[in-house]
Amino acid sequence: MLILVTEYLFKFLVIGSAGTGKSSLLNNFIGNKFKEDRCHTIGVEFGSKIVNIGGKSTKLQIWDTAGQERFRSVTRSYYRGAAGALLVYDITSRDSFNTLSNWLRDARTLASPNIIILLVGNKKDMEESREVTFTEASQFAQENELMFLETSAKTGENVEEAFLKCSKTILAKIETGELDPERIGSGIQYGTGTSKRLSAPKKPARMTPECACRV
Amino acid sequence: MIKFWKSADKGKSGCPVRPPEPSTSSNKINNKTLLDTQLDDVEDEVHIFEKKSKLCLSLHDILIEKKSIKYFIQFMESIDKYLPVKCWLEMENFKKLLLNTNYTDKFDSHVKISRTKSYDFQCKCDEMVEKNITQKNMLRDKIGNKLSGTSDLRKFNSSSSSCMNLTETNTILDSCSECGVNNKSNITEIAIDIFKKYVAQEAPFTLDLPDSYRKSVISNICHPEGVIKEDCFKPVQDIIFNEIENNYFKDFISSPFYIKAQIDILTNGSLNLKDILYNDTLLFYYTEFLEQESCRHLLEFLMAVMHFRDNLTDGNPCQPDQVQADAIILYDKYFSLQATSPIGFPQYIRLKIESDICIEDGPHHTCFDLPYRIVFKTLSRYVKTFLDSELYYKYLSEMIHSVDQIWSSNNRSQSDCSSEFSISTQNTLLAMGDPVFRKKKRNHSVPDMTIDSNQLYNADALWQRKKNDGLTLGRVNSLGRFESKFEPDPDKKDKSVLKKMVSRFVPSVTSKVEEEMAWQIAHMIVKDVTDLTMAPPENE
Repeated sequence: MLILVTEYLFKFLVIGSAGTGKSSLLNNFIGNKFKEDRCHTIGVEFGSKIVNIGGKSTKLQIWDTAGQERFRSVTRSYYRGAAGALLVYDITSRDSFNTLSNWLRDARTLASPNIIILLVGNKKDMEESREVTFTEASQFAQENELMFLETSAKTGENVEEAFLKCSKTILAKIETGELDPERIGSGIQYGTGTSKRLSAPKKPARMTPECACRV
Repeated sequence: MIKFWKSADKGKSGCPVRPPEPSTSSNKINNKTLLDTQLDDVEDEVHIFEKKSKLCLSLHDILIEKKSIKYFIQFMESIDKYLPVKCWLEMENFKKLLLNTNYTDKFDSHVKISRTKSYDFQCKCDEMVEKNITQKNMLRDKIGNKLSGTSDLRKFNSSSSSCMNLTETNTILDSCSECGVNNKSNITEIAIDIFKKYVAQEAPFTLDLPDSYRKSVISNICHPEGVIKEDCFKPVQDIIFNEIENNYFKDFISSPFYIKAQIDILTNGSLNLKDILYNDTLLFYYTEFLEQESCRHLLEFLMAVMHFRDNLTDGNPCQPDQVQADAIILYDKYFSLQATSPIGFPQYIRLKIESDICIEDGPHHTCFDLPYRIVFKTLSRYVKTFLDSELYYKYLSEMIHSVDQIWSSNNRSQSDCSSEFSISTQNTLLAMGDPVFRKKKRNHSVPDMTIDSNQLYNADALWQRKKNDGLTLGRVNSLGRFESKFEPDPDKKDKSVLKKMVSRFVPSVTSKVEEEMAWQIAHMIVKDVTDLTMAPPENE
């Protein structure tokens, strides 16, 4: 029987302008195939994955939000209490890069101020139509204290790394005490990965030794 | 429109309105059990779409609807800013008193009174219904109400040793109780008292009001016709309200008092789906819960429909094409026979959605309302299980923990004495992944059996443990006799603590018959042994 024990659960956001490939990134990460003609997201789509970071298994609850401007007011209401976020732009679209600071401001003010954000330049595979250079973007990232990666949801390059890098930073901050998982709204829960059904049979086995040393 | 037919054409049959196909809807049948399509108790549609969680309190909720007001008052006292709240509440009480007095002619006024005095006021409504009651008596009752209301506030006053002047409160109360005779002059007096206290230039509790406000209140009170309107303090109330909202409310939200207020709401058992949906923190937990129950797509659906609706009702200029495109995305994802995350709606709903999407000038914002209500109702059922779940329990204990934490960090003394070391009661790592195990903690009849890792590694903690934690095997009673917990007093009816514990770990198949058998076997064994040992030696 598969027993999933996770130590932490993080709330994760994927934000950025429409058409930058947020849903594709998520889908690639959780193991779905890349679809060339994806329709835009309405509302929020969830994904979750258990990753192993430095020996600690951590579950990510990923909120893939709609990028379209007209849904902006609603999607903003989901920012609160997120522990981490991928801020996505499209390297072939200058516009998507230009709006980054708006997204960033929203995330910093609406989600927790300690939110860990990783800047993602997606569609790395379309080098021929690149509009935003790597240097330019990494400079933006540096100025705004973001981590930065260029990814391709199509080839899968750096996709997992992006999520892992962000999670790693969150975990490091928990360990140094900078983030307090027990603070309400931190976007972090202690291990819950196991569902009730999975863990129930474990009960007798672990209770006996514990009572023996107590009585 | 054409777009929709095209997308529908992608389906196998090529015909958007398809005849029932039992074979293709196999995955729908799996999900069907989840859905409750019988909307017998037609819930108020407006309520379903209202975006309001009880857990998110606004200042309006607190002051005007008197929700969790005690925590807010406590908070304001803790930062020594109780005065504006007190002033506001007194003015509000005055307004209500006046409103009620204006109704004295009508005997049905008790309804109004009981409604307006919605917080903790002991209304003697039944007595008031009596027909012979005089106006005087009614007024007295109301002043009594006012008295009890303000004395409630006084309790908060005295709880913190803040500088509130109790005698001051008394004077105004005395002044109201003395004059129950002349209704009008009494009210004027109260108004003047309030004015003197807070608004006047030389007021003891100055609120730093601009002169213009003072003047407008004066002209409101000194009405030429001698009638005081109930909203005579409104300008002051408004300015106080805004001041509180702008200067203090944010701090309140991040204070332990607010968390306490939320804990109250979380534990009073009135939580519904809306309260969860519009509270981000709780939604985080609920989402996880729904994933464990494998119906997270229902939540996704609700959110998507909400987006769809909002987009149309927010007054954004919408192209019908765009709206239709959105609707088709939702259709393809949740309704179509090839849906990527099918919810399992019955066919008549699918057909209805198909025709609603295809109407001219694009679908209406109500296009998905029926399925929304169905899913809403279904998810509401999950709320009940969620409230009993381990996750919810964990959320609650995290809330309580953070109150404790903020509290202790605020009140921590300077000494680093080891008794300050707090032992975590929620050892999340040990209990991790074993929700059932943690649940046992709530069962207080049996002592907590968990071992805290902190205790293991911190030798000091051993000496700080409470004595009555079930480590003893017995006790010495008042006569100096040792009473074992293994063999407790036979007169006692309930099982000993130890027995209870043991019975928890030993598989409990304690049917009467088996117990009887066990006794008999035990008897036989004892008899055999005594027969052997006690029998006189045979060959001597």
